[in-house]
Amino acid sequence: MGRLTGILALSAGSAVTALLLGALIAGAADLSRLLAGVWPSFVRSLLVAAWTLMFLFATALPGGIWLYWGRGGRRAARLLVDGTGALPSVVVGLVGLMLFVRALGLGFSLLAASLTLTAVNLPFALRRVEEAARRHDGSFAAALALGAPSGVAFFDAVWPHMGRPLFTAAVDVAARTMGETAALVLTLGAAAGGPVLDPLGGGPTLSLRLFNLLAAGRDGLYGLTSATAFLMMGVGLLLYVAGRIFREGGRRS
Amino acid sequence: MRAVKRTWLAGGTLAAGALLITLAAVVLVLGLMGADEVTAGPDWVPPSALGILAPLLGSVAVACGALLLGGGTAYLAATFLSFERPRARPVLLGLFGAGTWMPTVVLGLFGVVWLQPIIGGYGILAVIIVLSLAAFWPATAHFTAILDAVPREVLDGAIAIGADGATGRRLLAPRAVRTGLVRAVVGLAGRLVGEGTVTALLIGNNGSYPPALLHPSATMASVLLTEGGGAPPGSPWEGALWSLGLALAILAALLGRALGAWDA
Repeated sequence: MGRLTGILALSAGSAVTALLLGALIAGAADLSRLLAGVWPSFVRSLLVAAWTLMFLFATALPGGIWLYWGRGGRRAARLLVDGTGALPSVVVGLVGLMLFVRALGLGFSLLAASLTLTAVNLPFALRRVEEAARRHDGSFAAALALGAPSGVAFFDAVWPHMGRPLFTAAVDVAARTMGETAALVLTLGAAAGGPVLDPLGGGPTLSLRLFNLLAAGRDGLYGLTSATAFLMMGVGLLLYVAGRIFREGGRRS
Repeated sequence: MRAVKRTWLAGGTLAAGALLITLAAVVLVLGLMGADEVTAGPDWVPPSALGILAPLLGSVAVACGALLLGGGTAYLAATFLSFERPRARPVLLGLFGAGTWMPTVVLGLFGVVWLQPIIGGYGILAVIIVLSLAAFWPATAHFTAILDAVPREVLDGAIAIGADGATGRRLLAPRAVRTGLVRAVVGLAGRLVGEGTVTALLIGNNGSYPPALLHPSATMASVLLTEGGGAPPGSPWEGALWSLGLALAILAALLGRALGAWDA
């Protein structure tokens, strides 16, 4: 617990991180050729992330505002949101398989995968919307005290300040969606590669492609798996840095 | 030290209670479904043997192992960052923040390509090592935030009564923030028990009993991930998968939210 063990623990963590990144770059040495075969999966990943964000915008925004501003039942709703937020994505994926893929007949498709990822991220998004609104609780209370109707108070005093935190939350959700695998294995895993832009078509996203490659065995596929992982890491890091910049900017302002 | 022991004992009792509630719920649901083929027996070899004990114990073993290795290492790193080198904290935690966004499937690549050849194949040990790595980055940030809440007076008081700084940091600091630490550890267990991607890639998905460190085994999450789409609708196998899903959901929800406060 002293200085030496702390240094050892930190060095081990940093060394493994550096080793991992270095090996990914080295493994994907012929990157341009390898990435050419990966782009359909990359586009699918982007599509799934975009549709998930779209569905979340339609559900989490009003839901989160209700959690902040609504009347009655909010405590039970928060408990439900917290409970479902702790569910592993593989369990939500199983529900998505039964509900979207089988019961609603969407089959193994990008649309079913997007809806399942919406369910995976909904509790997180709801709380982020609520927190974004709660930051300006004082302004809301002041507007109410001055006699403004609650709707006017919310949309004049709170809503204009929610843009930056909501954008940060959207970046976080996009990063989570790009890296999510377990739910996609269950809702998209068995789909054959189809037209990239077809919502009811299938085909692997980046994470699913990497999972399938690894599950199939490592012989002769190291370059391809590394290229896929490299692309995933690049996108993830880009989104992480973007989120950090917006978060820091929000703190300063 | 008695208060610290009591807090950890309470955390352990609650976690064991969560496991028992989970088992009771599974038995109840199976009874209601009339799924007689699903048993509490040791082996999970569908569709012939649907004993849920092997994946359940596999999940508990993986979570406990990764908690000890990853959580312990993260606590040491957090102690160092919080007390020894606070100036290095923003830079290192920023780097570790990038690590938290590393998708688990990328860590699975690390396990499949480098770790498995060293270890010699599938098993719980490979999963524990990779999950420890996955837990290290967020846990370090979380523990550092908790240790930052240790009142400076506690450490100064320890020095004032003759103890050296290391004793204060080792014995008194965890005691001052024990509730936060217990909640974080239990919450981390809730996260680890539900991790499916790494587990499915590295554990071998063989539900024979007992789960082994160096032989193919199975966890609830790996079984759900690899067999979820393959079970015929309406079959006992599918019923067993639902019961495993329910068990995992209850266990993760109880550990992750009701007991823990893991929002990293």
